[in-house]
Amino acid sequence: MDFTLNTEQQLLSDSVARFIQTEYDFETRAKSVGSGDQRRASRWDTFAANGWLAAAVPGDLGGWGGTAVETAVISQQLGRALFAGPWLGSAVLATQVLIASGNQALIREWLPLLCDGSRRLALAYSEQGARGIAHIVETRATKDGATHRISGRKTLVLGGLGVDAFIVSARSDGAINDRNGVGLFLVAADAAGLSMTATKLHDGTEAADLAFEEVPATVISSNAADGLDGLEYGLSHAMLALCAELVGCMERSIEITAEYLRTRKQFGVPIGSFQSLQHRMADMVAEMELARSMLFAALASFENDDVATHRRVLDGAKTLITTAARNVCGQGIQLHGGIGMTEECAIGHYFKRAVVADALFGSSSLHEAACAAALQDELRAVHA
Amino acid sequence: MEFRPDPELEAFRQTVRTFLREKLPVDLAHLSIGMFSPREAMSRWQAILHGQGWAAPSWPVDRGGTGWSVEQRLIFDDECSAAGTPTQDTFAQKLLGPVLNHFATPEQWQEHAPPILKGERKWCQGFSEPGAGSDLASLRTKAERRGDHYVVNGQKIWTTNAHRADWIFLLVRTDPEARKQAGISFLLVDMKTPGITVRPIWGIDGHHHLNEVFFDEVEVPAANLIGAENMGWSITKFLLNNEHAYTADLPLLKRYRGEMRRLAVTQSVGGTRLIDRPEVAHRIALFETELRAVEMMVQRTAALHGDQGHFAHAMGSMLKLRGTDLQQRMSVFMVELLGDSGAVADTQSTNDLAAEMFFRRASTIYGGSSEVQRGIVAKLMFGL
Ligand SMILES: Cc1cc2nc3c(=O)[nH]c(=O)nc-3n(C[C@H](O)[C@H](O)[C@H](O)COP(=O)(O)OP(=O)(O)OC[C@H]3O[C@@H](n4cnc5c(N)ncnc54)[C@H](O)[C@@H]3O)c2cc1C
Repeated sequence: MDFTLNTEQQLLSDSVARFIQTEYDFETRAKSVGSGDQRRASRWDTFAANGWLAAAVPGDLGGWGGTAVETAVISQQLGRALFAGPWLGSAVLATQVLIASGNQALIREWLPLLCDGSRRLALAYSEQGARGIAHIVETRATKDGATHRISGRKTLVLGGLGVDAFIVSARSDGAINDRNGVGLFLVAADAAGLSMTATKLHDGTEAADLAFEEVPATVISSNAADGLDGLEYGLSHAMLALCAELVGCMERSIEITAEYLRTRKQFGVPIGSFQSLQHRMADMVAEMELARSMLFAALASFENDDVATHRRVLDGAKTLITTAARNVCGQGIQLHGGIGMTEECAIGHYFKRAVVADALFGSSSLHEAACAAALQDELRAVHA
Repeated sequence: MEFRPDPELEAFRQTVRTFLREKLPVDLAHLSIGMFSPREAMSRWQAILHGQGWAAPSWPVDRGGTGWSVEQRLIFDDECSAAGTPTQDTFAQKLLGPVLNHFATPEQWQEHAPPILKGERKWCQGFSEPGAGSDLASLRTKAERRGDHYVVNGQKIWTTNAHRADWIFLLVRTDPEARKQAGISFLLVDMKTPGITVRPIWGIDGHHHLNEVFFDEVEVPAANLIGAENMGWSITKFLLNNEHAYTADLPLLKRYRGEMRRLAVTQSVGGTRLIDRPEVAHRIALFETELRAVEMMVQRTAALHGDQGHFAHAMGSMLKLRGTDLQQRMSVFMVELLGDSGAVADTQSTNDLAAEMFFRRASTIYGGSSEVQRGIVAKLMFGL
């Protein structure tokens, strides 16, 4: 195992850090959030020009040949700045689901356009009653001659505003919970029968809710093997990205808070001179390093293990890391006192991102339950 | 020790219940899960309570109060919370009220107490300053005596509801030469006095509760000084030492319990109700257990009412530590129970659980931060 970034990874990390420093400080972000920037995906040119959109795309498909590690390196830097654009939704989630879908024709048609930033996709998979779990699907797909028609509703489509098309999961067979019968479809953003509402999340990012009424769609993969498996594989990649982002969030919250403890004075001394606060900072940084280690464990498992194993590790990682992020960023607010409760202070926004992150891709308790079920299966099989 | 319910208290509960059933207007019920009721609703409710002779549950009978025991007041709060009544003006009832009843001249009492009882005058608390938070005694807003007036100059911050209040009770420095605590006075100021500027502070919950209040050559009649000049600190200690049994905000915790139960049976994942998922039931059950313990801790603290000993005082701090920690953990879990929609910012909603959760980060900051409370407990319990 090697924990240092290789030359390319370091360059990647540095280039994102430079972008953050020069173009995306907290004030810029505050202005950009809510100004429609996210819909226009402004700064997407920079993302394309720096190769970030292609970093984790296989070399034979026109990418840089990186893996989830490259995604994590970028996400962590973006997390430090609470980047609000469609990185996670479009560049990671939609792109990786498309790659994993195995539909060669569509992959070859779309990937170059996604990598050069001229087109953008988003993934519409979650539903009201699904809470981010991929195989729970009520949205229906029915065959209609050469095409398919989709009816139903999707929620919380990340990066969904201003995209060219959506990748949509829909069921052509089976009941709401069945693993079989879920396929992936491509739907143009301007397709007839598709309506969209923008929703604002706590951290200022925007998502889309979609309603489909007999919307014409192209099949990406119609059988469960490629459909659901591809979807879950792409989701795993995105969950790793989110976890890395949260490690970046924690890093930055801790730095901001440490800086505040050095400058804020009460009782005639910097509050950082109080031992109780020093200990709190020590606990926060220890929790963050534990979370980073869990991220690495999940990345390692994603590269080395079978699907069942890596999914289980990732379930645990999502729970551990979102919990750590809520704790660490929440403590950041605490150590700021009143000022930490205000919209104009950065620290609260890190906490908000951690709360949103927990709600995305299935909350902690759902992942905890999934871990528990996997453990039960394992031990029951061995000790029947 | 004896744990049989007290028949008199049970009868009292029935009386309160009957009153609420008959007198609480439907349009005033359940306006918000948190502690902020609209001003208009508070006034109407206060007038109704006044009509019943229940205008001031925590004041003695000879001061227009009910003279209820702490146990009775807890029951009253509990029933009001369950019925979803608007809140009373806590600043006037629980902070200023006891000060007026104890330190005010008959003229001052006549001027200020009746409008509180009738719900005609709202108060805010002007203690904290940018440089004086936990270290309140370092406050710098000064009041200079000129003839029969004080002239106030300076700034307060974190003033809850200053923009909705008619009057403010202020801590001001009247003797700049004296030792920190010694030169402070307690002053009542009409918010309409020329020279006062209120600026909003937006919170991470997306709401405006907090304010900065600036004083520029504000003339305040010397008759508005409570107690003697430079006696403000002992009045403050008196005021902050009053309400040990209330520090956990038990009614709030009970509303959270109700909300969790409601979500558990109304929300579902993949067609399974949340309550039928073991990890959810398990977590709610644990919270309910903790709540039951907190409830008893409140009763124990209530039983110590009037006791000036170290333990009684420390129990107030311990109760605040445990109660506010529980508030934060429960409110975070409530948002988790919302699933995807827990990520969506909906500040228009009257039952905005996420906003409530974000606001609760402040519970461990205001009213003596958790760090300060721990210091108090260590000192009082162990002389450390
Ligand atoms: C929502 C809200 C409503 C409020 N409403 C009012 C109001 O109506 N009127 C009013 O006057 N004030 C109000 N306050 C102010 C509140 O009383 C102060 O925020 C509080 O006293 C803390 O002061 P501070 O914000 O300056 O933080 P600081 O005192 O600067 O504290 C920063 C951090 O240092 C810690 N710390 C400070 N001193 C010590 C120490 N000796 N040992 C260990 N740790 C320490 C604190 O616990 C905190 O974590 C409100 C605050 C909030 C958040």
